[in-house]
Amino acid sequence: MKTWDIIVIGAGPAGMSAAIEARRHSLSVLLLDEHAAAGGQIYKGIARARPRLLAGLGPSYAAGREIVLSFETCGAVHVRGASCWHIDPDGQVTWSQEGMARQARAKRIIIATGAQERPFPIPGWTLPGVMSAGAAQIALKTGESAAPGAVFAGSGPLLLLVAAQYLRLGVPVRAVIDTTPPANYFRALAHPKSLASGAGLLATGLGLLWRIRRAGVPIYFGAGDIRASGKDRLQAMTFRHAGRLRRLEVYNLFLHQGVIPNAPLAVAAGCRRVWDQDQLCWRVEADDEGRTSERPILLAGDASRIIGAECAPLSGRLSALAAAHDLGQLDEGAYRREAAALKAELKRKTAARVFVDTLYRPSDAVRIPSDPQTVICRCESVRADDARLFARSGGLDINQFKSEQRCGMGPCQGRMCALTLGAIVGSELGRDAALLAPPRARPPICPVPLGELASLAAKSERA
Amino acid sequence: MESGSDVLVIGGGLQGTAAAFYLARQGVSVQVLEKDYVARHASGVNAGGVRTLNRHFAELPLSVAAKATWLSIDELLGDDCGFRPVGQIRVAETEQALEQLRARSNAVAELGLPYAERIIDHRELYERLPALVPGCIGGAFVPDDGYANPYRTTLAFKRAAVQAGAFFHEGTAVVGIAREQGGWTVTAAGGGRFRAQVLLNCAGAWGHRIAAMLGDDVPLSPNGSMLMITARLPPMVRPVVGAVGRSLSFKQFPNGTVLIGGGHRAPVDIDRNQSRVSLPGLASAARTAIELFPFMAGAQAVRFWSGIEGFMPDGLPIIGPSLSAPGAYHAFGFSAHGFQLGPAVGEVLADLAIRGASRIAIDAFSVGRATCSAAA
Repeated sequence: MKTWDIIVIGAGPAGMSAAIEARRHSLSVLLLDEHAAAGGQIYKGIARARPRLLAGLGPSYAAGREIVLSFETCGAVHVRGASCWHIDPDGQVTWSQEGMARQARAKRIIIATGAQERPFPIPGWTLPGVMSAGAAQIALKTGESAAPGAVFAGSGPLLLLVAAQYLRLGVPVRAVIDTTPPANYFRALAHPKSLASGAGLLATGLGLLWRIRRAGVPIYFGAGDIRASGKDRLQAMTFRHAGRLRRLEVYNLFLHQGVIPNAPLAVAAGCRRVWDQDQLCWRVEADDEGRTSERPILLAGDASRIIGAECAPLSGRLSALAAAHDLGQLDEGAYRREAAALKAELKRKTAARVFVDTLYRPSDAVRIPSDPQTVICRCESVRADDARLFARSGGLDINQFKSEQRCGMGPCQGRMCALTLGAIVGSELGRDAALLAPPRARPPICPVPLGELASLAAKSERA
Repeated sequence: MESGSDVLVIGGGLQGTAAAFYLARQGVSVQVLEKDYVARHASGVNAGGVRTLNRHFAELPLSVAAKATWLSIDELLGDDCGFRPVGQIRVAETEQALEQLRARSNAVAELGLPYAERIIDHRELYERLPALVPGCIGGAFVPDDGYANPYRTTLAFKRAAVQAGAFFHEGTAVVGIAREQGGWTVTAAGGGRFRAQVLLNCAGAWGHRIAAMLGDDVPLSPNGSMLMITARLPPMVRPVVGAVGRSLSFKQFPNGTVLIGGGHRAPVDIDRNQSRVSLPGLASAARTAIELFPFMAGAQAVRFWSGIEGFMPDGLPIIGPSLSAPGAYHAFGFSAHGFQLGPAVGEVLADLAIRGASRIAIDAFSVGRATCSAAA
């Protein structure tokens, strides 16, 4: 089997930039991406996007075209439709492609698998008609499909962005329910540094709000206690605002509470994790060049730490530079100079994130469902109360709960429930989340047909 | 500040918790020291096979005794532990294989135990396993073998032990064992000190380390035995299935998921509690499963794992008194087939602790046996 210099996983801005940078240093690059076209989630469908959609989605989306073009001409081998499901910490990657299992080996693996949305379990969130705002945006980008009259509820830049994109495309929005705690506005503004660098983001945010208000869409600030209800599908929702309980009849509800790193491949490969108290999530322990506890594996972009699409290319380049240095493609001096320059620029650009992170830091109320009947693990039907009981009866490690009640053992492999479980148990035990062991993750990181797995046996015998 | 009891058990896996239960039930004060949490390792993540079929003859007296306990485990512990006596079949794909099974069946009959491995013919094989690939000849069948939930079983023993008066100290790793004043003093990381007259070493894949502290040199190899579980499937297979000449253990649970084992090994790190999976072994297990049950080609594997288990060179556990230290007994090294034996091993350990002798024959598992003497 040929050994590549670098395998990059993910064709979003971080992955594409890592590939471009690695190619700049004459490294052989294989890039595996699960989608049909490059662009990741943020620039999904950009190659084929029609002018009307481009205008509707806004300039930050259109900017992706350039980077996709640079990537496609840089000489990296781009494999589409590749769903990676296992990484051996010695450098072998296994993926599914067109119903077959394939493998490749590299000296360095850069994981740039981006972000996932933070779970936001409310009563009734599993009803048909309730989905995440991110998923609604993907539907827009890929199929130009939208749900008229939907309610957007939660907190975070994406929530307002998707609502504004809907309106720009002429799709009516019923309401925006913002759960951002009022105190967060003061905390965010109180950061002197962040206000200066975050001014741009603040301006963008205010612009979106203005656009939404101008379209006559009611915005409820400082709302909470959101509940979805209906028989067999969503029919109505209630929420608390300005001391009053309000009810809206609605058939589509888009929820959002920000994004968190998504790197199950790294976790299943054995990379150590740490609790990030700022972003209130576990993430793979990585240094400022993306190096993890496993030597051949590096992380780039949001998969490492949420830095956003604008900063992702810098992070991708840093990881590729580190790998190029490891593989002897540039001397110490050049490496230090280039890395220093990238790090300085990254530091400057991410300074603005303090503002966003502070403003949109999820409250305990959204992380920890107060209604004990709220489903936290939809795959195995485990409820908030089950987790509370576990913590109160001597449970110390959430992996015990996983073994006992199968929470996290279903098809989503913990993506929807791990954080909520950690938040509930942590709060019951009065324990700093940093001290809780995160749920163990096992490969494959997505289901694999047995026939495909079996085909690897035939291969290894022939090889 | 010392915590004293009649017996100290090192290791909170199935063997240790079962021993604690049987001791506490007889009024003996017992403390269990577990370095992580109960059922964290092999006891919590194994294939859950409750099996007498195809065991080494030396294990059969223990296994048959354990079977009787399994059949009334709900009464004993107040928890059925997910035990389903669905039967176990060892498939013979050729006449030769069937001959092997027949010879063994006859040899088992001669042991005089209340236990039989019945040979079934082609017709009965396919009645019991309609989804089996055509062309198999027959098999060996034990009707009351089956499976249980290993994590749940170990926890059930723990709960019952606590109810009977045992104490469990989790997150408590043993760092020192000393003989003092005619008894044992055990020190834990973090400074805890424990005193007892009798010590039980049930430390699983770490058993050789505890044994070494007692002066017994045991050639134990920690390793992992890989398993995979599928997404839910329609019910197709009821008994647990193995096959002559194949590394396969195959069982479908009431929720429709299928668990595939087969003993393919994977590297472990016992200092960092880490186990890895190795794809070639899993791929081989998947291929075997599909070859025997063609419907499995469309099944989706959703999780691979292996636990940390202790393997002995001869595949038999260490059970019995320490050679070097009075008042200390071992039960570890079950080499990936200790789950079913757990209830009986617990009773044996309680017997050894209280009376110094076991009602069930365990000489074959002596720490001093020839096959086990290591390159010292």
